[in-house]
Amino acid sequence: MLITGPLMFSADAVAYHNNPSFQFKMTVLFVALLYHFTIHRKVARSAVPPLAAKLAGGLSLVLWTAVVAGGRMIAFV
Amino acid sequence: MSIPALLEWIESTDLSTAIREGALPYPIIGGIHLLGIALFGGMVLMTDLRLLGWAMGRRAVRDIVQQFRAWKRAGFVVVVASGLLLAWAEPLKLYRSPAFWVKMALLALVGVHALVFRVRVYGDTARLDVAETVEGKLAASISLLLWAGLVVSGRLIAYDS
Repeated sequence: MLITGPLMFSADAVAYHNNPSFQFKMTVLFVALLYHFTIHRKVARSAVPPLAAKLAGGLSLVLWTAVVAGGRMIAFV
Repeated sequence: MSIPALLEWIESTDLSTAIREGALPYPIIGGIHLLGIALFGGMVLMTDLRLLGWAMGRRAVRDIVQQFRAWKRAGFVVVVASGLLLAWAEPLKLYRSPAFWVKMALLALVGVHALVFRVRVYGDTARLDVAETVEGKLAASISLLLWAGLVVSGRLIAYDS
């Protein structure tokens, strides 16, 4: 994805840059990656209470679902 | 009634028109289709990688296959339901799309794959935990190829005009 995404972007960079769904996707992607490599990783590697683990997992699912939704909308806005 | 006439009737239904012409329904259903693929494909991928001995080698094949099965089924239901809605929205376009027919042929082969390997591989995982079998690796390899082909041909439908 780190390779194919930039390749597709390079084919139509200005249009992607101006596309609101693309901007949304990149914003959420940034948050999702940041979250994944900080809080999510910390929780996944430690013995935290079940509720905290569920919250961390749930938030991760929400973020990645938003990335997919934003990506899918790019072609329709 | 000829097939094109039937498909034209489908396109004239309120549901088909609403999905096709509304601003949001098509991308939303398309997004749900993608998420379903992520869930279903992810479970298939992990099962096949385990059968090949490339991932989660310290876990029993039996545990992987059995514990992913419910999620795999849920993903399959989501993919099929959303796929049927997408097809209902533009059946004529799909009828004329070579990529769509490639995808349907691969889907039929997935059915054949299940018939061939279901009992001896996926239904008899205890045997696989005793010793890896050629059959298990063959089933996993074919499964991975079929699913890669399904995703690619599905993606290509959008470029058949």
